[in-house]
Amino acid sequence: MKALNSKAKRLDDAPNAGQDVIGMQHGPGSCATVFDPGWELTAWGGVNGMCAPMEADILACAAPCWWPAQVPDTMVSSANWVKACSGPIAEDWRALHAEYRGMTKDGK
Amino acid sequence: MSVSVRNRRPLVLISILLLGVSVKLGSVAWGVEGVGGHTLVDQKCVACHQKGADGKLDGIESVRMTPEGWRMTLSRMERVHALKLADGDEENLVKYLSDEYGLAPEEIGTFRYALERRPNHPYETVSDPSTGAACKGCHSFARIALQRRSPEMWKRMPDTLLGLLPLTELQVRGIGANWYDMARAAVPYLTKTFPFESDDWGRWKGHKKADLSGKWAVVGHDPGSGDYTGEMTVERRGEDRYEGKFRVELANGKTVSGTTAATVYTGYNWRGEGKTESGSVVRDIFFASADGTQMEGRSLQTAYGDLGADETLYKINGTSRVLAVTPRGLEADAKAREIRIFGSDLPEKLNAEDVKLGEGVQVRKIVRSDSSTVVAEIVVAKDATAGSRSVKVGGATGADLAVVYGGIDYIKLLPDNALVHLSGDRMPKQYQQFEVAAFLNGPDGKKGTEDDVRIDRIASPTWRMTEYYRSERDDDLKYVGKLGKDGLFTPAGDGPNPARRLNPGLAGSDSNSGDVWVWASYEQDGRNYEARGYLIVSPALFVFTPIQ
Repeated sequence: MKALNSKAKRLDDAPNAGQDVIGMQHGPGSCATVFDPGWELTAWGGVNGMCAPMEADILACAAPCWWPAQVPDTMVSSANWVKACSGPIAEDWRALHAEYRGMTKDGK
Repeated sequence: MSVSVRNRRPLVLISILLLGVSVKLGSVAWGVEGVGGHTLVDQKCVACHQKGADGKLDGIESVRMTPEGWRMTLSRMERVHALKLADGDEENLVKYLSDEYGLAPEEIGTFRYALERRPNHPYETVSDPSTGAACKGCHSFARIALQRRSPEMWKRMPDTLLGLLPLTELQVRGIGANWYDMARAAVPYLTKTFPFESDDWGRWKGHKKADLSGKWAVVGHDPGSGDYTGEMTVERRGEDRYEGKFRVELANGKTVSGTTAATVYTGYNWRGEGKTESGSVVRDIFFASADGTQMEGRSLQTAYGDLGADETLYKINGTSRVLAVTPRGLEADAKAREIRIFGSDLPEKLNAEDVKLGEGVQVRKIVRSDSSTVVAEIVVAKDATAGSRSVKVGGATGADLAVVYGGIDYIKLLPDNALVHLSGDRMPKQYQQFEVAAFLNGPDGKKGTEDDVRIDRIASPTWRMTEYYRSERDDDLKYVGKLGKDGLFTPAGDGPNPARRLNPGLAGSDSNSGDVWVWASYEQDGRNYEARGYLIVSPALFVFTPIQ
């Protein structure tokens, strides 16, 4: 078989490049909405199996999955929150900011 | 006011309030400048809220909340409904609304933890399953339980929430549940449990506000530095505003002093800001007793409450009180030692026989004494009964202020379950302070039961972290952050970490998140004691509210 596109070629080349293929031992197993006892956790009380990396998946986190109280809602409350990122969020995540509601940045 | 001294930050803490004076704090003046709250409601709110047949503004005058709750509501009005408020308006509105439509002290009850911004609050159970399922997936239960609404306002809640957060249904469906149905099923419980009209509120509204000005004796505990005592003196500066100074003495003998200012909401919610001489800011979230002789709460050393001290203040009003003993743990070793007893309005002249710590503890002499402090030399007999001791000075007794012990039974890490967020790169840094306390097993001789007695904090244990293995190649330990010699955990930065790409542990792979064991060990009399706690380092928090 011959690789026809660049992705297939990278697959062909991978073993020669000495890269390991690492199987995921935990697939994303839980949305944090089931967070009990904390919205920062999975249902099993840890952080394993949360989508990874969270910055790359921030839209998935802020919208259909995860973290409704941890990441700003991007429909009504903070519609422009992710628009601060001009490129892929995993690369541009520094443009994301913390939201302060009913308090100031210094805790007032 | 609380205080602590830390290496990585200049001196810290303490609190007290300053306020009144309408010190311009950031963009918000805490003074009483500007338009009054009632007028502001008429000016700003009626654009959307109509008066009902009962003459009440719909959606406002049928809801009661804490000052923090009203602040969050106003923030939402500004964010979502284009409310525009001038400097100082928000403060005046919060003051007015929480005075007129606030919560009685009994209604805040144990949900105080959320207002005190306490980290690591234990899991809560709610007797109504629909309410638990509909609310606690995203919020602390305090967020709900600190609201009072009329039946109509609770009935509207599911639709209001979906209107504001349309994604909720989708998010909850991820776990196979229908949020709207759950929320509607929760309404009867919420209406009955958190009603707008209540006897407690009726009584509190009729209660005469206490004057909180005067001198206060301060007793606190900071997980980072230990017990402290001191004094705060405040004067009244306008309605419900106080201003003054404080001075506290830390466990290590250092003193911290500064100024403080506070506003009191609903007659008992003391919200203050203290500034130490070294420039550190402390936020006091205190709750005054109905008679105004005691306040209790938390003094925050950081903006988000990740670090803070528990504090109780007693009005110095002529009543003799015994409030604290340092050190708290008294070893039964037949050796002479000095102890320091702290209180208020203690007798000026004391003899050794005026101070009593119970059988087996001999008070040999009074080294010095004044109205707040007694230094006494004592000897604890080797056969003195181990356990908690009350301390008597003259006619006043302080219950369970000291503990006599032969040997310690075990040590415990506090907290033994902790969660902290990756932060500091983009999100504000948040910490976790651990401390270790020594315990006696108590009368039943069993470790970990309710009758166990806390002896004292251990000042310098040895700290370390180990991996909590979730998979074969789990390596969170390398990434999650650092544990300092003082038990302070500083999480690693937020954001992806390229060095961790496709990490086999996959604890939130590509970021620094993970979970680890935190250990403290302590050696005494040739015996080694160890305590372990579980620490989760979770993805960054992006939204900050006074009630999470």
